[in-house]
Amino acid sequence: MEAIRNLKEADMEAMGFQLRFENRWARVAYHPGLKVVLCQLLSDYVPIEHFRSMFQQISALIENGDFTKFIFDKRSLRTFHQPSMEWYFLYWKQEMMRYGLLQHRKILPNLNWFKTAVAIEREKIASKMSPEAVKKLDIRYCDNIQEAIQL
Amino acid sequence: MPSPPEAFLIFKTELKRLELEKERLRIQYEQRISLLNEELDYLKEQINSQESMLKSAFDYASKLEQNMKAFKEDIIQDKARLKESRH
Repeated sequence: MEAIRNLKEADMEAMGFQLRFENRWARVAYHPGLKVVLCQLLSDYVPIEHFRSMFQQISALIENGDFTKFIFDKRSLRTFHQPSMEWYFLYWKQEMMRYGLLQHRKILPNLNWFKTAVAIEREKIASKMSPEAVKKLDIRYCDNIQEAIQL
Repeated sequence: MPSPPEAFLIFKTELKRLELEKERLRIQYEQRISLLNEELDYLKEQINSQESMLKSAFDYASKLEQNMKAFKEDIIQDKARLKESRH
């Protein structure tokens, strides 16, 4: 898969990332110096129970650390679960604001139909976001992890 | 009490071994079925999500089509109004 090829474990270590956990669905690593948490999805779909459990583990990492940026590499995804995305967007991101995590960098698969599907859903979800979150959160889309780190 | 014949002891041991093997296979079978059911549930959830994505895309396309129609009508009306104002 492109996402896995893009940043292998050895590459992550070389860049100073430390692996937090890896399972069938995702690989999560963090970089204390850059204050970055990176979540690379590894499958074309993540069932909601695993999605939430994964983010609970990431929450624990963020709550006990000092992180300002979250990079969500979704290039392996081909289907997204709308309620999961809504929970992530409306609940998780706002919850993490309390711990200083305000920068979100997202990497989507290079597929126009997928990007359009995400844009349609985002339009619906973004309207439900609190004005405080809209003001404070810095959300951007990137093409790769290196760009996401720098931007 | 006389000791049982050797053939009986061999048979008893073999029976015990087969019973244990049967139990092992039963547990293995149940684990595989459970894993398959889990995978099936994931696939069902994925198919539902794909349906939902398709529905959103079609709803969006329908909305765009309606907006386009309304926009065209507006243009036609504007042109008509412009013509009338020139006369």
